[in-house]
Amino acid sequence: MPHNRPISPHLQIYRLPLTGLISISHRLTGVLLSIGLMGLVFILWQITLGEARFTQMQVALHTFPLRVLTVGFVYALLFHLCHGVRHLIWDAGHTFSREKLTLYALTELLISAGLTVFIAKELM
Amino acid sequence: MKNLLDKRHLAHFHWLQQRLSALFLLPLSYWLFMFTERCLHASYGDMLTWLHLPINKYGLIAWFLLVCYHGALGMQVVFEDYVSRPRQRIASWSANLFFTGIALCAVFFLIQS
Repeated sequence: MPHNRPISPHLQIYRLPLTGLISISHRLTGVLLSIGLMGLVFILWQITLGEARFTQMQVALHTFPLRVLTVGFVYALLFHLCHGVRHLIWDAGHTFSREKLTLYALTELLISAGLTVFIAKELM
Repeated sequence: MKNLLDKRHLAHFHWLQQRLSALFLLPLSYWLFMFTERCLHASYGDMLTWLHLPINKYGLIAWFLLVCYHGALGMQVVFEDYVSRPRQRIASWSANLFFTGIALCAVFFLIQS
């Protein structure tokens, strides 16, 4: 295979439509969630270390910065999930017209934000 | 020509794996939210009781394994689109190593707890 395969549009030059912005955010949230997995593994490790470490971690999780991070993680996950469902709808061959693209992009944003508020209220 | 067909099959298989892992992750996310909720509010005893129920333990193990698999597939696409060719392989290997490490640690700690 030749080494001059084209790469994706340069984001500094190309002005992305809403669907494009959501698409790149989908990738970005995927990368951020992957990094967040380390936090989840750290929590599992603390659980294996006993009650004192678990309680210490629980206290830390209730501090403001970690609460923000937790809600951020939940939002990133729900946004990624909603756009993932959109990909499945696209794969089935639906919602490709220009009007529907923007409408469904806004719907995705609203649903992911609504779900985040609902779940964050349950968590916090 | 045969090489090109092989690559097309590989690409289709990659696409299928990504979609299937995403589909399975949808219901499995329930365990992640339940786990997060317990991390924030449950006592240590309650957390262990919840984790020792096989449905929860294996639900979380399945989530970690699939999410790592899905993540590795996704990172490969990101690297193919944004990383120049000579560095792509190193980047993919590093990502695979990262996700394998995460999956192994998660399963080990879940079995230990």
